[in-house]
Amino acid sequence: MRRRRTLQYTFIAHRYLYDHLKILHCDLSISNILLNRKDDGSEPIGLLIDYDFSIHTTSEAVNHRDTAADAADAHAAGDTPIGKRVVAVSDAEVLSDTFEGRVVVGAGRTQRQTPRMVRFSQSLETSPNRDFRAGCTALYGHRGSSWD
Amino acid sequence: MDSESVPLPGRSVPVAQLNDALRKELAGNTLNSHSNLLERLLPRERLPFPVDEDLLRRLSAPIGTHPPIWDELESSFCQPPTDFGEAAVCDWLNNIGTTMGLVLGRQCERLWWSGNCGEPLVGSSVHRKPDVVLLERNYHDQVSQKDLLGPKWAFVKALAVVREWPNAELADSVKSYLTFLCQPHRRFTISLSFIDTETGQLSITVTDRVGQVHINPIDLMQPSIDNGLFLLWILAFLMFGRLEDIGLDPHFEIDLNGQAIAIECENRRFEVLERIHALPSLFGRGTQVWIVTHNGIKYIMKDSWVREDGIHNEIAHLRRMASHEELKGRVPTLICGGDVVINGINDSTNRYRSGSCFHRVHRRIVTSPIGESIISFKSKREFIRAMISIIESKLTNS
Repeated sequence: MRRRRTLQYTFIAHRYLYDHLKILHCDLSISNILLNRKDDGSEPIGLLIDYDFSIHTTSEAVNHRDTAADAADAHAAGDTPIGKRVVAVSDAEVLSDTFEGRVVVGAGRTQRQTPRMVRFSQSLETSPNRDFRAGCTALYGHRGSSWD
Repeated sequence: MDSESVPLPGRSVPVAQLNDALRKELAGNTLNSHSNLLERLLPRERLPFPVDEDLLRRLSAPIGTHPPIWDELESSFCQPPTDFGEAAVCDWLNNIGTTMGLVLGRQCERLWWSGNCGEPLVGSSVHRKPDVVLLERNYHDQVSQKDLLGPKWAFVKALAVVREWPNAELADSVKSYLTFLCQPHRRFTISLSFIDTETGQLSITVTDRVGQVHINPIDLMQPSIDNGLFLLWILAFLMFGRLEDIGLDPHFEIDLNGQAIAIECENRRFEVLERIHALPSLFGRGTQVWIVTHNGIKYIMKDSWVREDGIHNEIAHLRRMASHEELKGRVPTLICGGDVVINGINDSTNRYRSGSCFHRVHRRIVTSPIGESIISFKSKREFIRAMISIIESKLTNS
């Protein structure tokens, strides 16, 4: 349960970084999401670490050195263009892949999108002001006890 | 970590797997260069003493009972090694160093050792015979007097190999790799290769986090003042120079086992509690992460070699995050750090490599808090609860 919430906090931080600072992490993995436990015994929160590959999207996204080649690969494989996918779907991609137990990827890597991820992507694109929890609701149909 | 990376120390490594991994790492990361790379790597202003024709002149006269080592008339070394075996080359190099010391009135800081040319060194799961290694004088004395079981890879300062073929062999690269694997403060490694040809060639290989550079060989036994000065220049640095000039990071304090016990960052001394991450690959960022403590508070210290042409800067990102209260506890707080500065210069491969390749910058940061892995569980109870939660979620959403 706590790990679920840890992931949730992490995705909120991830989203905040993009929305407010235009920073996209680009290297999300199980190793880069940690538990931040407080000494007071309160509930631990997710700590998102390692920004070596992070980009400032307003100035760097199109110049990301991995993007061009990988976007070409993605195009050849019939995937969504990387730039758009990264901006719109990264949360869903992380979410889905983490729960599916696959390796989580960030910008510059190609991966097949599941129909669920596409739906979430579309929900975010059509409602840009939708917060992340609402996006999760759209994705999973309900908030459910897993998210509280 | 991908499957081609080389395993960490302590794990058993099949030779074929190691060679295969290194071969793949070396492919595309190996260059040939002229000696001007060495002039930048080992610059004149950092020489422990002048190496010039005046030194050659002084080395061409007997020093007490010590015979001269340089023939001024022939412009060549007087006593070349009798053969290009490990022991002969080791004795020859030590003789040159000792003679230079006698002429200049100082003792060698380091000496060459070939006593383990027939058996692997201690301290690595990768078993490799070292040919000839450079050790600190005190350590060398302990090893030669058999006070120690044998030298460890952790204390090898530089390498010398003897071989019959001009082309570098993979086995030579393994030795350089082991210095990186066993030395947390290793920045680059210098390896001398003595090639047993008629003219007795010397080639030098420099290995760093970008790749490997082979300096084109010179004819060591042919008459040439320049070639004589070239060897003396290298030996002056290796046997008398400062450790930071031959590839080590002076901000580290190393214990008798070769482990880092303290690391300095922005003039603050952080004591090492535990190394929690280290990439075992030879080339690349070479990221290492430690839990450190300063004034009783624990921090995370991260040391890595990031690409200079990279547009990403973790420090800049962390500084931008610092003013956002909403991110408190959810992203690391930067305590101190930046580019590592050695001898007043930012530590980068750009200092000595040519502009034809990309470069890596040495960076070290200290952050807080210390997180715990989300895949480690405190108890079976916690693990089972997490599993149940996942199963419930899957059932609900399927």
